Amino acid sequence: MEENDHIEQTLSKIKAAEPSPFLLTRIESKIQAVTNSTISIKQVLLGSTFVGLLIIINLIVLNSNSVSNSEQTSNLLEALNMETSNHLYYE
Amino acid sequence: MNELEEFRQIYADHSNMVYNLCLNYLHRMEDAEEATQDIFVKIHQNYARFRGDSNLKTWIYRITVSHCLDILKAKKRQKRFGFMQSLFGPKGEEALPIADFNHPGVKLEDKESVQIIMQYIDSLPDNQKTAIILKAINGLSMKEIAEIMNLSSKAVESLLSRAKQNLKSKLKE
Repeated sequence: MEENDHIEQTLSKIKAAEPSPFLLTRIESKIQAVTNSTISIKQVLLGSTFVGLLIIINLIVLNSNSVSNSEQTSNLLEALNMETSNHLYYE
Repeated sequence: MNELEEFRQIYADHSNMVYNLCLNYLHRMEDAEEATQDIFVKIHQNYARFRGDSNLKTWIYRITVSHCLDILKAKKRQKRFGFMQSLFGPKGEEALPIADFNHPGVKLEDKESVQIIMQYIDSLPDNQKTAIILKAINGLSMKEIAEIMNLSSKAVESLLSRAKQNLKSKLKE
């Protein structure tokens, strides 16, 4: 019982304190900083669409290049009458 | 009332409560101010999602309690890490200095006795610690504490009783 009284008596000595008057300003600055650093869903969608388009365009260009390159090579070989195999000697 | 005015009103109505609850958990003015800032940022971010299942005051109390307990857990982890470093690493200081009790609501002549009781309260399990802080220091009713902790009033009574038993046995040591 005595210990209970002692605990309650001691804790009753803790009084309420006032926060700093500048705390609200600091909180609002923090909120502003958090809002500015947050990327919106729109921005994410826009960014990923752009990257996706870039990849597709690259693939198309690479594909068309490889097709036209092989055609050009075989045309050139025919015109020059060059051997396309690795055999050095005819059997 | 626009969003900013509404937020300022919430701050005006609840800042004292949040700040003092943080002080009672963290014991230092600087830590309590930092925590209060983070809590109000959380309130601002989540206010749109607040459905009104509980009243606003209860909701804010819950955010505050949860945030303070997270800070205390993080501090304990840092202390453990610092201790391990001192065992296996180069000799040096602890990762965290021993907390300086700096509660602006406590007079200088009462500081020592309050600090001792608060240290014992700190060593209680989270539930008991929260119950005793809300009851004995913040002066909330059983019903209010039960709402905040999402427990029945009986469960809160039991927590308080165990908390007091634990504190009594620590005082006797």
